[in-house]
Amino acid sequence: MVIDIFHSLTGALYLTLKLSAIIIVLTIVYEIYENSKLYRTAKQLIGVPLKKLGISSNASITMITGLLLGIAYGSAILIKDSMESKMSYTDIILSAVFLSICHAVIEDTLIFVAIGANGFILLASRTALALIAVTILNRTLNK
Amino acid sequence: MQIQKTFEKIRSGLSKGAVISLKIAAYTFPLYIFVDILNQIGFITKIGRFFAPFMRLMGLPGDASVVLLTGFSINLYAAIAAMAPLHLTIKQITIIGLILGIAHNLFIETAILSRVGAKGYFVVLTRLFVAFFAGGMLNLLW
Repeated sequence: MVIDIFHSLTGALYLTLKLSAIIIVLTIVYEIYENSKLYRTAKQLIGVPLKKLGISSNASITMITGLLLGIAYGSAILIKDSMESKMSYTDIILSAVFLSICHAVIEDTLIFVAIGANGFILLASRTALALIAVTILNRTLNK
Repeated sequence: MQIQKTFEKIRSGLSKGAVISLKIAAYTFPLYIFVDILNQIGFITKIGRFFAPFMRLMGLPGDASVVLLTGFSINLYAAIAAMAPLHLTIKQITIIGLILGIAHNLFIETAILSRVGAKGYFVVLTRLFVAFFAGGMLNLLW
């Protein structure tokens, strides 16, 4: 049995470079986005569809942060926001279920596309599943 | 003024991004080599044989069970490092991407979500159930 270390090393290097490129570009975009007017515009834009799902506008910032940054990177904002804003029990449960199915959509999709996945299918099915799960849950909670 | 501010942001984003990349590379790089060697000596095939019947439901080879376990317990970067040496098809990579996109980094993220106020076991069970369901459906529909 011969182990080809060179094959492992070049593969590892190639993957690391690819991931680093994605991470650096995303960090720059987040850095600019964080303090821009876009943040407030996004908050207003997302309010209407959220209401249809049964999530009040108190959870807007939680949802935007989770969707774009993800749960681990966005945790500081998520925890801070949940303590400051007056989210109802329904808001918390519905946004937690939505975000646990569909979060960090930009980063997750890009890194899988980088190794060959179909990004459109990934994005569309996650969004659809999260919408379905939240709709069902909202109906049951309201009964 | 505005341009200067943006330039400043790009510079801080670049340095933060580089630091994050290094942190992530610190485990993706060795993990890739580790999994590649495990694969070369045939160990992955052994684990894979055990999970193969379950993985077949989602159109995945048994070997991919290692990728799912890595993603569930650590994170997506670790899973990608474990997946790259296995040379899967586009359909298989997309199915894994969907499953892991929904359920990953379960220990840390569940801890955070329960601090936000959601029940931990509820979140984990929902995510795993939806993830496997989605994987199976995508396999059938594709």
